[in-house]
Amino acid sequence: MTTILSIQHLSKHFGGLKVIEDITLDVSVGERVGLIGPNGAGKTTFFNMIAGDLNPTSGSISYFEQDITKVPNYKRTENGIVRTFQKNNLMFGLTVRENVLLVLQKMRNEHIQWWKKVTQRNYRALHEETETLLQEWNLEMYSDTKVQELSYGVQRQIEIVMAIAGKPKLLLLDEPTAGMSQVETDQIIALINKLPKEVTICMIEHDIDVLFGNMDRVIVLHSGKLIADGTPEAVRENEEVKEIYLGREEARYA
Amino acid sequence: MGKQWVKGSLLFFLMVAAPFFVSLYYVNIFTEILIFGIFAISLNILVGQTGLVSLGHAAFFGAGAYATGLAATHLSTNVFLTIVIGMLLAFLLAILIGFVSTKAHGFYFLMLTLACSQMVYSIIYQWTDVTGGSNGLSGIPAPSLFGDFILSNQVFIYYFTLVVFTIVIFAVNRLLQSPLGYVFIGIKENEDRMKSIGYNTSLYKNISFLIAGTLGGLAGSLYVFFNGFVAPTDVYWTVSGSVLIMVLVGGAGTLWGPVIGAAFIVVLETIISSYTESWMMIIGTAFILFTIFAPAGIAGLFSRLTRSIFKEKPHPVEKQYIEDAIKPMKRQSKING
Amino acid sequence: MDTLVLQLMNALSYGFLLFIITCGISLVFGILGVLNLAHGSLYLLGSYLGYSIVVKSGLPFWVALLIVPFVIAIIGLILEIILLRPTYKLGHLSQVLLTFGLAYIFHDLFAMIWGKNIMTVTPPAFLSHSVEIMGNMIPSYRLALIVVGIIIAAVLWYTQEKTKWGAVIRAGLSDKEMVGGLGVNIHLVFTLVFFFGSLLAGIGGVLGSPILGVAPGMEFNILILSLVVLVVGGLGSVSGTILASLLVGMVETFSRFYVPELSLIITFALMATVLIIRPQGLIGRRA
Repeated sequence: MTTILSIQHLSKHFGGLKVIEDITLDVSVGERVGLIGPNGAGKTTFFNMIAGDLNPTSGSISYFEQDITKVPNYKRTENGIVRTFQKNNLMFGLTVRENVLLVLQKMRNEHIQWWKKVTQRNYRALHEETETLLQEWNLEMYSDTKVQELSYGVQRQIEIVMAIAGKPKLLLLDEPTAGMSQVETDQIIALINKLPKEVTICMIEHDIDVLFGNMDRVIVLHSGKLIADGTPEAVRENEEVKEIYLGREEARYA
Repeated sequence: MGKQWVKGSLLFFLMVAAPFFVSLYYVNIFTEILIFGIFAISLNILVGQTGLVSLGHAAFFGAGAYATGLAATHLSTNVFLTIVIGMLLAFLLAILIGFVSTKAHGFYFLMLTLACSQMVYSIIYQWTDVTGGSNGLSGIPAPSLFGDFILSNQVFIYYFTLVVFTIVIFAVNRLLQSPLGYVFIGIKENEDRMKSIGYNTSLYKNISFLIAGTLGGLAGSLYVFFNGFVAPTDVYWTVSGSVLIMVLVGGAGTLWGPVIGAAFIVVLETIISSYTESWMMIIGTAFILFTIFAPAGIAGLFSRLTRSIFKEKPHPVEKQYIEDAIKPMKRQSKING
Repeated sequence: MDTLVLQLMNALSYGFLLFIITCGISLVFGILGVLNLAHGSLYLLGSYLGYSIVVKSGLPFWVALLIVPFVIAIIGLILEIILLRPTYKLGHLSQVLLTFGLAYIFHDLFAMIWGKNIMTVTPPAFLSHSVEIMGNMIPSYRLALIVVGIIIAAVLWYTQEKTKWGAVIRAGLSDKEMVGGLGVNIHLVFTLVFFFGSLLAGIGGVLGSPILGVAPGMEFNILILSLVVLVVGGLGSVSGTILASLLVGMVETFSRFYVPELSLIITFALMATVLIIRPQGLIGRRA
């Protein structure tokens, strides 16, 4: 199995505060990995470093065996590392269509062109691709609504669709189902499961049910350290994990 | 689209016919409006479209004006050559200043553009041998069009400026709604997200700066032929403030807003000033009123009024633009206290 | 070498004057988040009022020094209450634009009231002579300005570092909402800070007029100089502003003396350099 991501002794310190401590792990192409851990465990910081939004204090990150530790975030995206954000982070003043257009025109390398207006007539293929995408993910009815006017749940969907539109090889989802109802959560999970097998997915999640049945592998972070790494079942039985989530007393009775 | 063409052509023909119906005094005012219209449009690309609020745009105006003036005096009066030289200097200056400034955000970006612009002002002011120092550059010969045809009177200058203005409006109209134009808007809306989508936002901010600076230089070049004279006061930071007012009062983020703003300021400075000395007070008051009650500028007011007629509204402008532009400032001032 | 001492005194007095002026704009920017582009106008108003009192009415200089700053401070107070307080929700940039519009209004107001001529204010009689220091004749007004500057700087530094008010200011500079949450009436603090900033502008206006003169348009020159000092010194500390004011004072004065063709350029090059290398300023705080 090809290794898509190789993380070696990754650490992040903010002054005296150690947010991520010495994490080493490999991810293979096509794996579906869940990342869990109590609040403050460093999960988003970890993601930020993989995406390139944050520089590590020490350690290295390799992507398809190329060292990307010093590569800027936009370049990583160009090469297939796409992330979503914990808080909806869209172009709120623009319509859904315009948000998606921005992703797709980049994918199609049409973004440098300045002499033609982005109308349907001038950019038929681009607009068709946008339409198809919006239809596929049931966002058609919101196409020309400004993102800021939409509900949280719909915005969250758009957040994920934007990432998918970027044709990711490695998809980093930061709590995609945060704040969603069961129905919405199921929709998101269906969305994710529709993705091709070659897409490697790493997902920060708090919802245990989402992880079980959808992820091949679960990684547990606590206080910046990697404390468990295995199948969902194995992790569920892990003593240390139980201790963290249930407290020392309860763990004895779990 | 058809309606836009009709309106545009009508306007164009009106402008062409104008010198036959109004006195030279008004023709000159029109020329000035067109020139500062280009100047304001250029700043709008930076401020209204990309969200980079700059207080240093006078530097490019000055660079274009002085370079063109000097070229006309010492090199050749060919209008194309001299204007290209003016735009070239503005372009080079924009590479330099842009490279340095776009690394900063919000308040720091504002201050850096101000500092760089004042350096340009200082160089112009103190390099007396070349620029004439505080006396300015005078005796600039009239430009020549094709060999012998000299744009010797104000009406010729007016027509030439009108043609240049029309080309600029055409080009910028397309730019603002092109894929690249949308990249700029995306950066204004949410630069971090644009980076996560894969855009090298630094590069695009520099591109925006380059376009804005070069067009600002074009305005300066046209100005020096129109005015026959340029002085350091035309490069002082208050000129940067003035053009910013034009953009904001006219309506940032729109195509015609900046032009309307330019018209507003020019009319106040020329026509109103013959009735009262206190035209700056009027501008100041209007600016305050617009900032509080109509942040989308005149264009915003107009579009609110005639939304059904103006079908094509490229970038709806609202208070959000102002808030978004200052988010980095807020963040920075939160960090710095 | 003789003139070196003279230039040094000039630089110091100029520097302290800059300090008094910049402190006002710096405080307001740090606490309210508003870059008051009408601050230069308030300074000039101070100079104009001082002129009216001293030259037109013939009253002694110290009367102007006593009254004018408070008049300016009250004007500042009124401005804060009627213009800034209702518009905080518009955001910082909008409020900066408001002050810019104000500066325009002030400009014409000054011309209407005091005309467009350049005027001078002579320093008070007892300071109109020169004092011998190290073999040089130094105008005593300059020396007095240095002394006053040192006193004000010391008072401000002490207040910020050692007193409860200073603590509130320092806290406000770090986190406004928190301070509000702690029960401090943030609106009152804002208004008082603006009052105090305007007071300083007024003091600067009166003290500066014998040295810098009184001319229409100079408010924009003063403003931009204080921005240079602000950038160089950084936000959030009186000591930073003191250091930067003296530095800029030195740079301006000595470059004007030794390399007059480059003096303007050097000042702004300094500003740009600091912004590029150390944007938080020499002593400013940064997260």
